[in-house]
This record gives sequence, structure tokens and C-alpha cells, in this order.
Amino acid sequence: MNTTEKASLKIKDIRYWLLGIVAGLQAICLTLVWKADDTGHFGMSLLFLFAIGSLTWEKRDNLKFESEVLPSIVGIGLIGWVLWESANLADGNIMRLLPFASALGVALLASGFKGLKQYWQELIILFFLGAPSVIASLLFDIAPLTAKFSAFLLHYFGFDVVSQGVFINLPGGGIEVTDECSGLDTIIYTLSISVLALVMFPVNRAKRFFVPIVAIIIGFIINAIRVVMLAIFAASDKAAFDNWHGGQASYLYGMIGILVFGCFYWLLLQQEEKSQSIRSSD
Amino acid sequence: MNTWKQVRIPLLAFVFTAVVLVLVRVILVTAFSTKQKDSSQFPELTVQMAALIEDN
Repeated sequence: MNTTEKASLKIKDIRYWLLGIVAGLQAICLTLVWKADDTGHFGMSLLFLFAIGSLTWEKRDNLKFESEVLPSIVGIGLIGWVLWESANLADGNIMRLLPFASALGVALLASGFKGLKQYWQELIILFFLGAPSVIASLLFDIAPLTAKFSAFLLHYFGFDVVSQGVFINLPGGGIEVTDECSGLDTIIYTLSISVLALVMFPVNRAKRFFVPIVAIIIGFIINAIRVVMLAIFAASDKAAFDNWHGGQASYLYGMIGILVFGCFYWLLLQQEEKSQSIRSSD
Repeated sequence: MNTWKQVRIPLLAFVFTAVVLVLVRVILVTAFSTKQKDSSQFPELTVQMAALIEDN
């Protein structure tokens, strides 16, 4: 078989077309996140795409690519919406939904409604990459709760603190817990990492329910500690407050949250391994 | 059914072309976008200039 024949065979193989479409769509999504200057989400997107690539590569020989007319039309509709929004340089909430919508569109185009269950892991991972932050930003305002819990921590550490709504006041100064400081980003990061961990390294069914809850609690507590530090800095050292407020410093707390969750999940896996080895020796 | 199979590859090729075209546009816009300059210092600048003129 010569090179021309090999190329002709590849053109007739729909897998290469689908791979090209999905790679192009995810490259568009990454470029949009890069353009929006959302460093945290860009890093998470890269990590999640590597995980999805690895999962898909493992089952590449068992995938079935049979789609009917209707699912293909729905898939093309979804891809068309993604392309329209991308061409108009969507940002904010829509930008965060594009990776999931494009993956769902390509999955429908590739394997139809019946074949969607082949990609349930990839679709769940991509759903948790962007959708929780969109849903949370529309439905919840946790700033008052963060302010209350941070004020409680300050009171516990012995500070003379007065809390009113989203304001935390110390004798030397105070802070206002805004939406950006409420910790939603840190909570979403740890929650999405917990889902990624559950899909890639599954644990016992009884523990599965608690893992995302623990991730949310870790994210909330880490951010409350950040707010406590900012309140102390605002009352004592304005330069330190400016250094630690917003920008790159806020990503550091997201990373600490992910690191703490990673340790928790690693311990959970160790415990699981031990109990399995005890069961097998019995 | 056979017709659908024949149509499928040209359809995928069409979608792929659309994706590539949008990707090129997004990359070009991102690469050559000019960020709006920060004008927050300008009000202070005019105040400072007025103060300088008054001093002289």
C-alpha cells in the first residue's frame, strides 16, 4: 500500500474527522479562556483535557461510531452554537459552558443518543469543569456566609471583631467580602478536582457521595482562612493587604485547596487499598 | 441508510472546515487584539497639571 492509498483510507475513516473536529473545538475554547485572561480556569481546562485525552485513548478500540440522522442534526446544532459564540468571542458564563457543549455535540455526531453512555466519564468531567461555576454564580451568594465564618474564626483566634452582613471590622480597619472574595472559585476548583479524581480513581460507592461534600468544605474553609488573613492585614499592614488581595495570590489559595483535597483523597485511596488487602487475605 | 453513510463523511468534512475557520479567526483576534489603555491615571494627571500651573 503506497502513501496515497494510506491517505485516502484515513480520509474515509470518520475517526480522523471527529478527532480533528474535537481538537479544533477544544483549541477554540482554550484560546477564548486565554483571551479572557482567566489563568486559573485555563490551567484547570488543560488538566481536564489531558485527563479526558487519557480516558479516551484507553478505550479507543472499543468505541462505536454509529449515529443516526436526528442525533447528528442535534450534534451539528450544538457545534454550530459553539462556533457562533466563539466567532463572537464569548466570555463569562457562556465561555465556561462551551467545552461541555462542544463535547456533547461531537459525541452525538459520533455515536448518537444510544452511544452517549460510552462517553459518560468525559462528559461528566467537562460538565464539572464549567457548569458548577455558572450555576453557582446565578443561584448562590455565599459572601455573607464566608464573612460570618471568617468573623467566627477571628473571634476564635482572640480578635476583637465586629461582623455585619458582608463587612468584617477590626479595631484598626475592616474589609468587605465581595462576590470575588466569597471563595466560590476555590470551592468550584476543589469540587471539579474531586469529580475528576472520582472518575479516574474510583472509590467505594458509600464514600463517593461524601467526597464532593468534603471538597466543598475544604474549599470554603481555605477561602475563609484567606479572608481572615486579609482582614488582619487590612487592620495592620496595608502593603501586605495589597499584595495578598486579588490577582495571582488568590490562585495560590485555590492551589492550597486542591493540595489539601489531594492529600485527603490519597489517604482515602490508601485506606481503600488496605481494606481490600485485608478482605482478600480473609 | 446507505445514503446517510455516503453523506456522513462530507458532512464531517464541512463541520471540520467550519471549526478550522473559526479557530483561525479566534487565534488571529486573540493574537492581534489591542487592549484598551488604562486611563485611570488621567484624572489625577489633570489635577497634577493644574497644580503645577498654579505653582508657576
